[in-house]
Amino acid sequence: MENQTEPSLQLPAQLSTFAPDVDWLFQFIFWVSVVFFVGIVGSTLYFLVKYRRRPGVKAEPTGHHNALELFWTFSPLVILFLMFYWGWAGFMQMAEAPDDAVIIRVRARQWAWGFEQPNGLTEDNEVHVPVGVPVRLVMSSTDVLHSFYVPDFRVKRDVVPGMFTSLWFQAVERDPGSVPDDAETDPNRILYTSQVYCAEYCGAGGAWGPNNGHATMYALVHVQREQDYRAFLSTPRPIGCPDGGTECTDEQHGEFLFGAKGCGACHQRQAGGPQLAGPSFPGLYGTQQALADGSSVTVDDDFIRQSILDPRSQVAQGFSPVMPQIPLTQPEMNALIAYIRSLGNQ
Amino acid sequence: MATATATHAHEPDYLNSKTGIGSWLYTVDHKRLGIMYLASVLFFFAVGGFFALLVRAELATPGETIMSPTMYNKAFTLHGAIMVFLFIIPSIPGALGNFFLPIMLGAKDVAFPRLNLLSFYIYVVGATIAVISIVVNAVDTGWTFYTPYSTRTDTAVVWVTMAAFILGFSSILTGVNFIATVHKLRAPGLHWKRMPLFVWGMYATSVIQILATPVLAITLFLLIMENVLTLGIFNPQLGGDPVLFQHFFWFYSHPAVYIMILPGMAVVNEVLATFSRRKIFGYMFVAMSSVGLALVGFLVWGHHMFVAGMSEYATLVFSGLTFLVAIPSGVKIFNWIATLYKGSISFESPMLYALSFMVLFSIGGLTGLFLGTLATDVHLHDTYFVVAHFHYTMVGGTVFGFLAGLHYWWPKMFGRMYDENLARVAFALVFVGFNMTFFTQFVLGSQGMPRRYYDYLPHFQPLHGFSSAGALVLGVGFVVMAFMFVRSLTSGKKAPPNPWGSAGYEWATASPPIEHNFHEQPVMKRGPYDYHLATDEELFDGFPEEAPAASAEE
Ligand code: HEC
Ligand code: HEM
Ligand SMILES: [Cu+2]
Ligand SMILES: [Cu+2]
Repeated sequence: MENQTEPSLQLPAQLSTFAPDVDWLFQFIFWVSVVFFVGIVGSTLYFLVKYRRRPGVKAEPTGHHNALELFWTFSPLVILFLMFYWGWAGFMQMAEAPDDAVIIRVRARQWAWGFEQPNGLTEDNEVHVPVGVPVRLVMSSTDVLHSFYVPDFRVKRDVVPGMFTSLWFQAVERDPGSVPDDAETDPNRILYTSQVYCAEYCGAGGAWGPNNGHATMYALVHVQREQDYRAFLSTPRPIGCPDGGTECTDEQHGEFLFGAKGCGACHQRQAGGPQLAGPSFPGLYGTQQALADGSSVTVDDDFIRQSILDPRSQVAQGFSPVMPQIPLTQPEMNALIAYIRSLGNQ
Repeated sequence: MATATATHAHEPDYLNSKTGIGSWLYTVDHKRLGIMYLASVLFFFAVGGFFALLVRAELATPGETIMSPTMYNKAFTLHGAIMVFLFIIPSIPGALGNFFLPIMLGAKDVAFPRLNLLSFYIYVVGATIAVISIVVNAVDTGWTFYTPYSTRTDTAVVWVTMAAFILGFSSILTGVNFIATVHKLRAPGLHWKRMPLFVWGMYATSVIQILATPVLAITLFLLIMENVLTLGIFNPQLGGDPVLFQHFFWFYSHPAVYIMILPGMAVVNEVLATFSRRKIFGYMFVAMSSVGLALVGFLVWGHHMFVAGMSEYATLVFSGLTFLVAIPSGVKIFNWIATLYKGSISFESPMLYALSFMVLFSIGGLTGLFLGTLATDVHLHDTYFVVAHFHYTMVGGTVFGFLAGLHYWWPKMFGRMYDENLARVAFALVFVGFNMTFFTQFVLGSQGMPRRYYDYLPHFQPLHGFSSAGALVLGVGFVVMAFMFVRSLTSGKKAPPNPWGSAGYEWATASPPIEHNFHEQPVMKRGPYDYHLATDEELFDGFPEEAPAASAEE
């Protein structure tokens, strides 16, 4: 079936190979429903007008019509069976990923998505995928339930702590031919971007803005031509900086990561801002932090590193141990520590 | 059935037979208990509605409108939990069921009047604990309490689950009472095939309450144990299984949606029969479809978990069984339509609500097909489509059924009429407001807007704004309705015993009924819908003293 690559009033754009089949079934059920609904409302209205109470006209006693009863009890079964069967067939297609799928690891946590490409390249809240190639996501959660949902692809799957779940899709081109086949390979060329939502309630840290709670646990799927995707994988990624550039100090890189890794959901970085789920950072560095076990420690580089590596090892007093374990590379860790240290002087 | 109301007209009614606050607090009269339930559930409906308006107000615009994300999470949780556990489950059985089930059976009271009082107080204790939980630290888990979130949040989960646990016992006791009453206290001549369909509906509801609620109790108990003792039942970090909680929870909560909807259908049967002056078409099929729903309802809980990480074969079975639920629901709708055929139909406000039930519940049921179908459910699950679907069934269905019953039986319960014109204005506002609010949400959902979101992307703004505007209209409708009912209590016209000219048994007693319902044991000589067998006196809608002379000698 042809993909309808623009959203309609009812459904989002069809950007995966599943979408046209799912939508066909959706439309089938929709029109069956419309027919039933019009039949129900139409006959009701007709009877209401025709048999409205009039002086001298009595209601007729109700008779028995077993044949009619049996007819409307059993005849809908035919249509119901069709829906059931097609729904099942479509679902099974979604359940079994082809063997040659590109496998991407997804780690969900409150309230950010971490992606790991087959070659180990990691991305935060965005993931590059090739068009026209099956992609399989193997997903896990470090804290609570989440659900990976891409409306454009018509896929959704819960991410459950303590087990792996998986889903697959194959993205299609949005405007076929817009990039000629022989166009030069460009790791930065993106055909289009689709939105990822979290569809299983997972709480909120208290702040507004992206990746601060269930409602903003957004991520982006960047769809690329396969050769561009391959090039993207093998090009070393420049470090992220707050202004979108690629050259900056450790502190600035840490500031960028603070947003990208979703730390801002639980940690206030604005002096005087509202208290969030975790300790606020302005002025924290160098002070004594009371711990839940009654002891206290100085907030220094080591304490911060330890707090991030194993959040449960030293839980701050007055806070619940809800901080997720967030995988970081060594440079990222150093950058974050530098940033938190710099906030301490505010 | 023959009653001699005229000769006893001076006997005090149940509202006046005893006075003083103690006569209410310790009453074992099913009618007074019904009124006490009615007051409580209406109170909690107002509270739940207040939270709903907060939720819709926040969603009127993206970003912060009136509250923080954490507040929003508490608001929608309180809305859902209050509406489900404190309003909708006890609403029709507790208020209308308690009041009318014994009268419809020609009985003096329920089988165990003291148990009935106990179950009311259990409800009060549960409700109080729920209110305490709001003060302690209102929960933010959603009314579903999914683990492991509910074992990690620092909000008062233990309090609320304790409340739901206790409320469950109230539900179970009411169920036991109703079943015993139906089996033991039917008046002479009231055999099963004559039983009012309202009673059939209450009976089926009670069966589910007794069988399913203990599972909720066990689940919540395990959850409390896990929270308090840190047992590893559901929490994967302790070796538990979070999906197990979902199985347990829906094993109760899916049957519970039939605890919610069957009573609504039960009321609609009575109202449709009265206002079309005709026996419900296919009486036995309608009665059995309730029992059928009650039974099949136990086997479909997995349809809430198609994408939760269940095995593909389990989804196959649950999807197949889910489609079977459509059959008894369809049977009811078709039989109701056939009831109108060759009836004599009038359009007072109870009938308007009952007819709306048919329309709105059809939408709720038909949209359920999209969710039972596996491939489409993957896209729609946990989006606003689901929110719209269950509001069409629970509000368009149960709440409209409850309102139909409340308008229908109001004159009987309080002995006063209400302003019909005002009732129709309220109806129009509620109907329009409801559809504005929730029809929009089908579109939001199918476009991909997930639920339980305190914020959303800008392109959803127009639909969310429209939905919030609808909620305002809906809210105004309920305020008008409240005003209309209060005015009826203070200055309504006195109601005759049978204002709608119904052949139903409950209309044969005075309005309001006397303390023991009937002066002498009634004997049922015809069915409650046998308009062709009912005498003019029975259908007479004025006061007995002024009854037509022709049939006065009886
Ligand atoms: C889900 C909320 C959440 C997120 C997201 C989160 N934290 Fe935390 N964090 C907490 C909480 C709660 C505490 C206090 C309890 C504890 O010590 O475990 C904490 C403690 C800390 C501490 C120790 C501070 C002290 O005074 O004890 C550091 C450092 C820290 N987090 C850094 C980070 C960094 C860096 C990130 C992002 C990579 C991050 N956190 C993301 C919730 C979170
Ligand atoms: C009258 C009976 C009603 C019942 C029984 C009811 C029940 C529910 C339930 C069970 C939820 C799910 C909560 C959750 O996901 O945890 C819910 C959500 C919601 N209800 Fe109601 N509701 C009712 C009326 C209303 C009304 C009148 C409105 C609108 C003004 C409303 C608006 C909402 C909204 C917007 C949500 C979604 C919250 C979210 O998912 O973020 N409800 N309702
Ligand atoms: Cu989420
Ligand atoms: Cu269900």
